[in-house]
Amino acid sequence: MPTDAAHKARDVLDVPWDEVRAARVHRRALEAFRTNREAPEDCVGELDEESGPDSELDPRQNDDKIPMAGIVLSGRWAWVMAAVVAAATVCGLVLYLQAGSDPQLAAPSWATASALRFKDGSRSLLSEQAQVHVVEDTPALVRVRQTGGRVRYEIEPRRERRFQVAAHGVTITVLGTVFDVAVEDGKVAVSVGRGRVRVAHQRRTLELATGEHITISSERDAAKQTAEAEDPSVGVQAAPPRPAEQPGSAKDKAPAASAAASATGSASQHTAAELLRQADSARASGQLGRAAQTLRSLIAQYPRDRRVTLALFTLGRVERQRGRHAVAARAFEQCGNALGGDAIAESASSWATAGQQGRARRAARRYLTTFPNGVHAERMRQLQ
Amino acid sequence: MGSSAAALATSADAIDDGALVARIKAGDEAAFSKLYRRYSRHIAGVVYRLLGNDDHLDDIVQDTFVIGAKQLNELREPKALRGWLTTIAVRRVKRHLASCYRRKELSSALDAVTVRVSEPSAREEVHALYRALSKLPEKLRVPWTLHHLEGETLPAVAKLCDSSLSSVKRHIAAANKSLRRSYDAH
Repeated sequence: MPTDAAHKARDVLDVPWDEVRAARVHRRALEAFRTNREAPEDCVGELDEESGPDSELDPRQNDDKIPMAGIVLSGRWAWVMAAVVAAATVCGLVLYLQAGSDPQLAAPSWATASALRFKDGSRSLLSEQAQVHVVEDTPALVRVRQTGGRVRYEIEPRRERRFQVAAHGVTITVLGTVFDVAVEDGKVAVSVGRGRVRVAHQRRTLELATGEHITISSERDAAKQTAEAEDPSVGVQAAPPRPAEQPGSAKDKAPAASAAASATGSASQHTAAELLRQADSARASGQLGRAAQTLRSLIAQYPRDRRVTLALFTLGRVERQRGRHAVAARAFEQCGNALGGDAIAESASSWATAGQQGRARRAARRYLTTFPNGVHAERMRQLQ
Repeated sequence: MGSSAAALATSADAIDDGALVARIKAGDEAAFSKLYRRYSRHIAGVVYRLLGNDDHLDDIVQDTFVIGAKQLNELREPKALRGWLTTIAVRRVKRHLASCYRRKELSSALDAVTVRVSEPSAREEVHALYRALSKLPEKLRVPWTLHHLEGETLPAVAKLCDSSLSSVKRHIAAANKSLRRSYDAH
């Protein structure tokens, strides 16, 4: 009977908690403790939404809640909204191109740029190469066609008037804002300084908020963009620094703004410690995709940071939880011989689960060569 | 790794929980490590017995200590530190199990019970128990496991589950009924 089995299990269950494992978790916990301690007061509480055991809150009430942009939704609606947001994110990714050959969003000194003024009080600041044609300027609609160069648009908010910029098939509809548009080499880059804009390209639309930017290439590159966006192995690439986002003096400040981080709305100036904390928080609340994305941001932005190995190892665990064993194995492999061989052993296991027996055997052999008496040796011998 | 493991292997200092709590509140990393050394094995055991596998063991143990350290201000009685940490761990497990149950992961996990059993003759019986437990929602599974497997008293289970004594009794009875049905079906 179940109760008899439980009494027996109490004596014979073998808890897999050895010193190596305890030390590994200790290291991670200590890192998180340190990060929490260093975090500013208004950041404390991000790690977990629940209160301590003495709280009056019933933890069961939190189980179905999903925090989203400061709003907490619960129950079925939370999952419906999460699905909508996920779909919107996918649309955004399709529109998004990784940085690298972006038209420079960093505009020249706008203080010395020539200005084009509109009847409603809005104005455009033009760089030397800017090519702008005002198609329509009426109380109901202002339409501008931009064919080249960089332009900063400072738009007076007016409900009764729409302000649109058309650039190489991309239509930017202003919702009351300051934003830059750069057109170079068939690519259109939009960066929002304040407020919101709606960007439309082909049949897709995306709203950008303050601090976000997007680069859209010509139709010729669309298929490539989509492929890049959908490839889970594509990491975050750093974009050239923007004037407002110069590196700080702190040693772990971001060296450059992350294009991907901006496009997805996360702050690009988070320190490595903050990113790790965000990833832990996302992981703890079951948002594995967000956790993986944050960890990739950390790895891309701070490749020399001491936390990178830990981030890679955690990324491997997150990807494994997501059922992406080959991606997990690659992340573990990048840890090298660190963590007492744990990472090599995990990569071997993940390769095996992914069905890549050859790679699993190679990783197992590497483990046994480096750590012949390691805690995973027996398991690795079975994989050989 | 070696030095870290060795450090953990040393016995925890004689400092009492009250002093430990005060030092952690002041941001003392050494005190946090002492706390971890003192209770991590206990927490890992509780979590493992509740989950029946170690897929999320590391994460939940880590979260337990980090959350515990962050919310120490809410601990009114330092002597209750061990139980307080256990409550946090149980909450994390409940959240995890509820999430798994929602995602219907448990159905696929039924055939993959990997709980480690030191006594070969008991292995099949224990695996069968965990397979049956896997079918239960967390609100039945957790109190039943805490009572019958952890050996906690009913009032202690109620406290660990943030629940009333009557609710716990009702849930354990319902779990018993469901488990028996599951056993009978096999």
